[in-house]
Amino acid sequence: MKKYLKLAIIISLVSAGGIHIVRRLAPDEDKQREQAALKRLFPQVQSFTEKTGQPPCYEGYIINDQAQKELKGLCFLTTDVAPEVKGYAGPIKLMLGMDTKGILTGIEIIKHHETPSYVWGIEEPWFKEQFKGKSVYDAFRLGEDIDGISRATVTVSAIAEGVRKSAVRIGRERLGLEIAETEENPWLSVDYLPLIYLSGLLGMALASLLLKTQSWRIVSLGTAIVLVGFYHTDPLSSVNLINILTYRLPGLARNPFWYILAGFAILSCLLWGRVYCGFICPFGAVLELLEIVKAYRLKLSQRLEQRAKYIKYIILWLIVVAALVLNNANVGDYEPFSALFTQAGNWLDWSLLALAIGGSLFIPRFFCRYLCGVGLGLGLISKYSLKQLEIKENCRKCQNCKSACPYGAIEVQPGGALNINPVECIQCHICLNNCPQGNIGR
Amino acid sequence: MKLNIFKSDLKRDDLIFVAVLLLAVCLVGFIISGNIYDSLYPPLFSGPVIDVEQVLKRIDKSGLKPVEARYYRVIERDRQGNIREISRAR
Repeated sequence: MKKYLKLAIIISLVSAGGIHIVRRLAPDEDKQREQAALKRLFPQVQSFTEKTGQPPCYEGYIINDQAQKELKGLCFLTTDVAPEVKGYAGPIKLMLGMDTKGILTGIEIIKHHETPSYVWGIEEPWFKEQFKGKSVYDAFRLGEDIDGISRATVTVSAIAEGVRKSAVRIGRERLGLEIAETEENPWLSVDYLPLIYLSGLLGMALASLLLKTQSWRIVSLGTAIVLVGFYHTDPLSSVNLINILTYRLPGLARNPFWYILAGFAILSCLLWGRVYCGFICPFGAVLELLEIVKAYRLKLSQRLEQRAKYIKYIILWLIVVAALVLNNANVGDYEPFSALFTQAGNWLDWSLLALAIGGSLFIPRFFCRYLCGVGLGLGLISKYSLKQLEIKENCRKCQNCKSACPYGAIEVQPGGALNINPVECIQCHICLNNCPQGNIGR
Repeated sequence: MKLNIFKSDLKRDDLIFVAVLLLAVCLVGFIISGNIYDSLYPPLFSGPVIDVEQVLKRIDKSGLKPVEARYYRVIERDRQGNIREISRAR
């Protein structure tokens, strides 16, 4: 194991160094995008100043008929003017163009860390075009004068709020316009119904965990598919994991659903283990419910199975290192569940989804066991959980639990003793129900 | 059938498993490498902003008239080369 760890560290350092050099040699992308955006927002402007003043703006000038320099408009970044507005994964850097009367000439997206498979629509021309011609006196409210994008509500709300706040501030402070105060309590616009549903789901999951009832667990998984999967389309992903590591989080009032879900997942890991995977994850639920089909079950050699589990370590290592070096969590956006729950994706996403589903007909939770970065991340936290599921000392080593465990989480130690691997165990309690001596507990 | 992979003989089930897993790993690797490439070399903008009014004016100027079409389709190609309709103009 030490040999592999050394190798991983060496490869990490070499690849990080290589990517760092490539990035240093490349020109500043944000600056390039800003320059291109300036021209698109004010194609008729002959010259722009550097960013000046407070709040900082690019000033665009033309030479008028009297051969004099005339201010045509201002361009500014939402991250400079309203940095407190955050999307799903931190601030969304937009450039706005505004003429001297407070009319927007358009918006351009400079940089964001939102998950591309959910928010591809924000870069569509129709989406950006709807801001063109709006005035600083407009509401910029989702569902009123701004059309949303389904399953990207958090991001679109953040864009609308960022545009409104920065346009109003620039209008007041740089153009001297009188604009009435329209600050709102963000908690008033929160949709509380999904939060109530989620609380019910988490309560049901906790009850089935503590009462050790399989039927409740199945109901919990079914509810998770509907609520977390198709209704809210907000399951935890590797991108979330990286965003948590890099502290790139949404505003609390913007997405309380995510905070409750992620908080529950981490807290339950610290207390019991991967409760999220076993009771809440909608994709795991879909794969697990496929077992109803009872297709042919592959009988794998233990050595091969144990080695295959290390693939997810390599994937997680790769995406975390790449995300940290590139400062972009979206490199970890590989899970096929966005294709399933949003019904949108390219051929690669659909192929991986088909393989994950097909594989699960022959190996229970095929994707979770060998490829899921979130599951591994939560599993690594579960190594330190307070109340781990354990096989007690007076075990008779009948291995009934090992045969019953559908996820290969029970390992035979040298000497024949059995051990539940907390990284792999999803707390389904199937082993517990199959131990004739009742030797498994916390 | 005997193959010497991982220094052990593989049964039929193991062989099927290795094939499926290898395919899945290749897909995951392909997706992640695509994400890394997109992050290193992001496109400046996803597609052109088309002013439909301007397009219609140019068509009028050129003297072209739609014969059977009821509307013009403004399209763009995505990264996979698929054609997607952005808007329609009568």
